[in-house]
Amino acid sequence: MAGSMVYRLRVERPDAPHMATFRSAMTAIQAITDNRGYNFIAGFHGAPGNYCWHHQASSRTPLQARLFLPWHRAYLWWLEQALQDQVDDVALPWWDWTAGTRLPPAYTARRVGGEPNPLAGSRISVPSAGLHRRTRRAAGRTQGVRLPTAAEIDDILDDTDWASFSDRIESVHDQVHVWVGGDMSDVTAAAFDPIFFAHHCMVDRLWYLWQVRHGNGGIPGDLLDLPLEPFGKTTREVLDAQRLGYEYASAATVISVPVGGGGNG
Amino acid sequence: MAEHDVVELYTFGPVDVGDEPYRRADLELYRINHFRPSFVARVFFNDPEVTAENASEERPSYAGTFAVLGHQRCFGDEGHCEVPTESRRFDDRPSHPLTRAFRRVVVTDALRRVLASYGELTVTIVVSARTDDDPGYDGDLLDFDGMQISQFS
Repeated sequence: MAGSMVYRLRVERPDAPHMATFRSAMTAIQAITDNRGYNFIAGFHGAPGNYCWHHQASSRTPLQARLFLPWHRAYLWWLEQALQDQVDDVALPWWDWTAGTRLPPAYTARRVGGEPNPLAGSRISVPSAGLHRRTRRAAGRTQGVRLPTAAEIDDILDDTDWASFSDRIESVHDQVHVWVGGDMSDVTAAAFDPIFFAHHCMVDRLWYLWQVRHGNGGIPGDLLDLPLEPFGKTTREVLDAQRLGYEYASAATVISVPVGGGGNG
Repeated sequence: MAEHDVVELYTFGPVDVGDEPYRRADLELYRINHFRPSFVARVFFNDPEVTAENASEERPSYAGTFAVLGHQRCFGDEGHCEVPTESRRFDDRPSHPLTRAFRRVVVTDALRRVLASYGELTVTIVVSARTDDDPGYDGDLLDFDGMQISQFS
């Protein structure tokens, strides 16, 4: 039902129903060249928007402005809403990079079911930066760089301090960017690669899991009202994932109910 | 453009580290320049034998890893990637995207192993990146202003 809460599920094999739905939405949004389209939204992160929040400071707070997690949560929400403009109730999937040593096949297959796979890449078009080409990857090719392990993530999830959790998860996140390589390893063009959003959905899920364990009490008050541009939300407004219309699940099975409801009894 | 690996090694110290009891110890790195290719850095303690070629996490001296997602080169007009050194009173916009970064590595167990047998600490950082023939930066891949061990009781 349009406008329902959605469950973000794990990235699965290409023929999984939720991946097919997601591909439909991504195909539609990649074909749009105006401000509803993927190219425009991907451009928020690096070129040409340069809105992403990684290491910046803000004179609105004397504290280190750790807005990495809130900013990217708002970014995912914005893309998810744009996708839902095309396909009802579609949800972003998360790539569990602790569970394997390769990119997921759903993001590497050139074609799925005879159709071009929109998750394998996108066309970057940023005239002001002179970028007109397909995205590139070099997964696993950087010497000595591997994907994070589940044990490392469990250790970070045990960290009770907000600032420390944020710092550590951002570093792990950076490691995955380096591992994927190509455009993902540069802030400028990273978000044009569709794997960017599956990666960040995993990062956001880890924050969600951390919030379930530890709450939001450790987030400095100074940060709560800082704006997350250009999304029109503040940090406070993105603390509760449900208010943004999603939750995380490891699996979800739809059970058909006859019109009018009721079973046999 | 063809890509190739860059692996660089940096050594700092030795320094004396306090022997007060602690529950957790972090290696903190300040003002890291990320107008660079993205990199992953592995940290080793008191290991004069570690090299760019043998810097494995299997070494007993391995203390932890940090990574930095960088901006390899400027895609803007002249001045686009110059970080302002002063701020105006009424300018409370977010700072420049190339504002230098902070990283922490939890090194509690590694520091305990070192301090059990040595009084001094030498830190070796091995940095790995993949870049093309035009790396777009001068100097070292790892460029930062300060580093400290913080121990928390």
